[in-house]
Amino acid sequence: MDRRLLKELPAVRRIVAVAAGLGMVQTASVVVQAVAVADLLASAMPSGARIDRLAALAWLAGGVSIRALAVAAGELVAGLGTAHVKAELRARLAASVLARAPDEGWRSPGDVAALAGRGLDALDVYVGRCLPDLFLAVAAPLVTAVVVGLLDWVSGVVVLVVLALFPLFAVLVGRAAMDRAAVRWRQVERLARLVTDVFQGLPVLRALGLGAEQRARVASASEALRRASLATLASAFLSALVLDTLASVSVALVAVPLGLRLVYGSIPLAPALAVLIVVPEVFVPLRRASAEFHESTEGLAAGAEALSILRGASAPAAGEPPGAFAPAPARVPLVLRDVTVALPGRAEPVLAGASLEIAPGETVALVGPNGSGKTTVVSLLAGFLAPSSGAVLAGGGDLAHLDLAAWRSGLAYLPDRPFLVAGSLAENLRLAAPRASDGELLDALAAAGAPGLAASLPGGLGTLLGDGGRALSAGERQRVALARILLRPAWLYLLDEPTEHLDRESELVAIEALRNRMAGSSALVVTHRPAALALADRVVELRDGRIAALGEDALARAAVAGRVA
Amino acid sequence: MTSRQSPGSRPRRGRSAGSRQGMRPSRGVTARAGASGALSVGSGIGLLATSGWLITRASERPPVLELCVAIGLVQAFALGRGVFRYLQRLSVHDASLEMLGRLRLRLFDALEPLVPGGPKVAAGASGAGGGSGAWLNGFVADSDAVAQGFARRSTVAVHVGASILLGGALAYVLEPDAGLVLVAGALVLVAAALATGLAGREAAEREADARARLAGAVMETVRAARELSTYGRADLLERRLGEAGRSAAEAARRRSVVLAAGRALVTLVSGGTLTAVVLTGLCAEQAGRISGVTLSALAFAALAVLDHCSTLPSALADAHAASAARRRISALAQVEPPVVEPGPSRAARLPGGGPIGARLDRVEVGYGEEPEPLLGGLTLEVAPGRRVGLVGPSGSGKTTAVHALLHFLECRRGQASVGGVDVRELDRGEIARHVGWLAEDVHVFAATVRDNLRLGRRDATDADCTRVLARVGLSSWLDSLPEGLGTVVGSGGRQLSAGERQRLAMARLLLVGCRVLLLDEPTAHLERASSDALLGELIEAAGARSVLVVSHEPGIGRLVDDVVTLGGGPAPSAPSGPSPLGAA
Repeated sequence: MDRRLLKELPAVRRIVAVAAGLGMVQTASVVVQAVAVADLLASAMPSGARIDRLAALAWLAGGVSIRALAVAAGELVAGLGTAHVKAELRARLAASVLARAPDEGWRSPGDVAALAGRGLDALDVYVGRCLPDLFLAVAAPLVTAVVVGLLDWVSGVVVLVVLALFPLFAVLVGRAAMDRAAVRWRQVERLARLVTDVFQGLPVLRALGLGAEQRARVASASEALRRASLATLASAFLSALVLDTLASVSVALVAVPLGLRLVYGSIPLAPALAVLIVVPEVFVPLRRASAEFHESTEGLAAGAEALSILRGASAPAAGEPPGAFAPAPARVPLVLRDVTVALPGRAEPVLAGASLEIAPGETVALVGPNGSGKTTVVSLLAGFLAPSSGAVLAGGGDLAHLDLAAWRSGLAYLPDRPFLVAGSLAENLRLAAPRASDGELLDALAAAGAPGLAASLPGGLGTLLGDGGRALSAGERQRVALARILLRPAWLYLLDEPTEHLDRESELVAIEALRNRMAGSSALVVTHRPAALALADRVVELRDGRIAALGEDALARAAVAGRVA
Repeated sequence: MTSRQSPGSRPRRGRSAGSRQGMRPSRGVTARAGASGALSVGSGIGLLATSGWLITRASERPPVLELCVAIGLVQAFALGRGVFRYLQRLSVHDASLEMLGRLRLRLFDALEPLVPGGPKVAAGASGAGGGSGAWLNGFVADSDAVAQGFARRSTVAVHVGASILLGGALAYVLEPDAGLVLVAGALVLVAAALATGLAGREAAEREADARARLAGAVMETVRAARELSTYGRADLLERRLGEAGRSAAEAARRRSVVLAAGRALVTLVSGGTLTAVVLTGLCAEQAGRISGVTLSALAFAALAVLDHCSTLPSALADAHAASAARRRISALAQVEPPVVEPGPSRAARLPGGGPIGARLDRVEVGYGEEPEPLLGGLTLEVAPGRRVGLVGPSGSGKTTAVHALLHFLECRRGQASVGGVDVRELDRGEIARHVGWLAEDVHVFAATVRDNLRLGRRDATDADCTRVLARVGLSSWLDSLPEGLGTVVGSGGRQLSAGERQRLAMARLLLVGCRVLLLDEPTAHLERASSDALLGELIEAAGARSVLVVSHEPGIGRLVDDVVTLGGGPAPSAPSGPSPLGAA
């Protein structure tokens, strides 16, 4: 159980409390039903007390109705309440992602999306059902045992002893089973991986003509997997066996002494019958909680993950007074001073003491091998990422103290994978310049190497793109994103491979347009391509976490390498 | 490979017939699971009924000896119930695992003729998008879901069925009217649970749709957050996310209302049935037809039956996931394979000797009845020993052309041939021996480097493996491996970079001894700076073989003898004569 989940999300606390409370109401109504049925049964015996059967029936009906209401209310609380919690978590997750996007190398967009979707869904089973049941598994048996004790103290003691035995047995059996299961489990995992592996490699296997052979392999692995799983389950189910057996044995342990004491007339019949009806109910919450164990581990993991993303994302934001400074003036030097960036899950820091200065109006090209952290530098300058140590300064002011929204309003940012929103081509372009005319949009597209794009689309500039709209090729997307940049007046251009996916002629046209656009503004261009390098006043190289000027000969080599490419 | 796709029309029938086959476990296991389940249920009913009888009879103060049989029975039932339940758990899982094994084979048979064009071919069967790994994984997960769903459903079915039959019979023997009331009540309970399950299923499907839309919106938010925040339009994302979240919450709310109503109904029916049984029994007792002791046994039997039936609603609550998975697998099995391969006896053989060429002659390829072809009238010749580049915009049919040469797809018009033989006359083994294929996604199997290489040729020695690795520039990589050729790679082993994967796959093709190599954008996943160099080295490693290279790379013209351009536009200039790297 994760206490943090309860501590940090008050709504979760409320849901668990209400659901567990409703569970206790159900238990109470079961007891009422049991006593009513027992009274009715006893009244049919000559020895039994004469009772008002109508009243007992009314009690029975009341118990059933209250139980039904409590069951429905529990379901509603779990369903409605968790929908609320999920919406809150998701909104917080989205807000944290929007405030400071999780950096590359940290978690992939797919991971975050999976967490916000399936992960949180697993969480609602956990919060709505598993957690309340966990509380009930502790509280309800004790309460029912006490009720049994009130009806007949001897039976109460028997039930309490069996309850006390349960954890003991479970631990003993569980430990022995777990040791054996762990060994087998590894084998099961290996075999399962083998089967998945064959399926994933199916295209390769078919091309190699190995279908029949690998089919046999799937068959034999499945059979081995079945045997290994069964052996594992045989141990794993032992704890369920203990629980089931204790539950039914406790009925026998209560019934037999009750019978003998009834023979000697030491207790009346009605409470004895009530005890017998209640005793099986003592173990129901325990059995339910143990059956939900698997679902609960998945939900628990999702909850911990969501909390850590929320915390990781909000930690740097917490210390900064929002908007303490006005946005930096347009013409100031931009400095990375001794910046180190360490990302969780990576042993080596991405940047280790990197320094760079971009003078006002200067265009700097950044080159470097794959994965050297070029995109990280762009992220730092855009304020998407705060350095672990060192500082990013704009005109002497630390970026960490700037109003980031205002800062970004002066940026033109082209990521390595540009995004098109679900909307028309014109809407996508006007993100950058809301008041641009259609003519300006077409000019920008032409300059970005897509002169015929709007004309080739069925609805021209009004054609819907993205989700449910027309799919553009990678090259077309890049051109649209580039046109956005060309439409965007900004004082700092941050461009990640601006001419990727462009053919040579389009590239030259686009470079010229970018040169005009960026005249007078500062720019950082990450690129491999020689034509794009020509945009730069200066080329720097990122290597081993540090930034250094690229010498003449290295520059020539880069250009040659680029030309071969 | 040819296990299922015999010539002629047999595959067609083979695929659609027996669509339920593999979805059920074998009879022996089913019988064991059913028997142990029924015995466990019977013990449970016996335990409560006997205990009830014992206590009530005891209150009449009979001689203790008279109670001995009942006491013995109570103890036997108590132990039996747990033990039989344990056996039932095991045999149900045995059945579901056995079924899973057969499901996997069925999935294998269904998928194998559909890859690698999979996502498109199986689009009707699976909603999953993404790379080929993702959709194949989707089906593997589906088969797990079907097997798990089976285990749950069959357990509950046995519990409910056996308890109504055994408990009903016992109650009928004790008092016929009460027995009928009990059976009728239990059946109403089952009907209520099933109706709720149906209503809940519809709500659950709507909820699943809403969740999928929400996942899309979240994905979009995460991907686009930065770019849009620089345009000051993060509100676009927040709005979409908010809308998707609200509709998902609304769907969830509706579903939980249905579930709540259903569970309340089942609880009421259960309590009502118990009340009715007790009332019927009381009337019979007043009329003198049964004793108070029998009444007690009757009531306890009813309690046990209703207890077993009460597990039904929660078991039905997530049945929709398994049934959706089952539908997807069934639908997949209905997808017609795009090609029919000749049986080994009727297959042609390629001539032996040196390099052979490959040729597409006015080839048109399209899916099913779709009028729009994937590839329209391409003619392309790779003469023996030549290297040809195939370029063109995305969607122009470059990959389709490669698949036609490999006979993964059938030509609607025209002819695809290898070494002068129509690919339709070659069986899979013959194509695999002579035509090598390297795609942008290469799967590395979770096995040693040696086993990954020897997939292509079983009798290859370590010396052979080392030699082909050297040819593709992996010598120093091999030296760096802790256990050399015995190092485990792939999932669970050492991870390979995209470039290393491609080189390893190329080495495998060299080991097979393919005479024609089809390289379909093998460097698409690499950054441009490294991809040019790798492409050059891969082509170089091909030596004297005939090569067709599909590529986006602008420098492709320098690496090959000829360039063919698909989808209009002039071809990049290709220098004549041998490639410059060929001399290096």
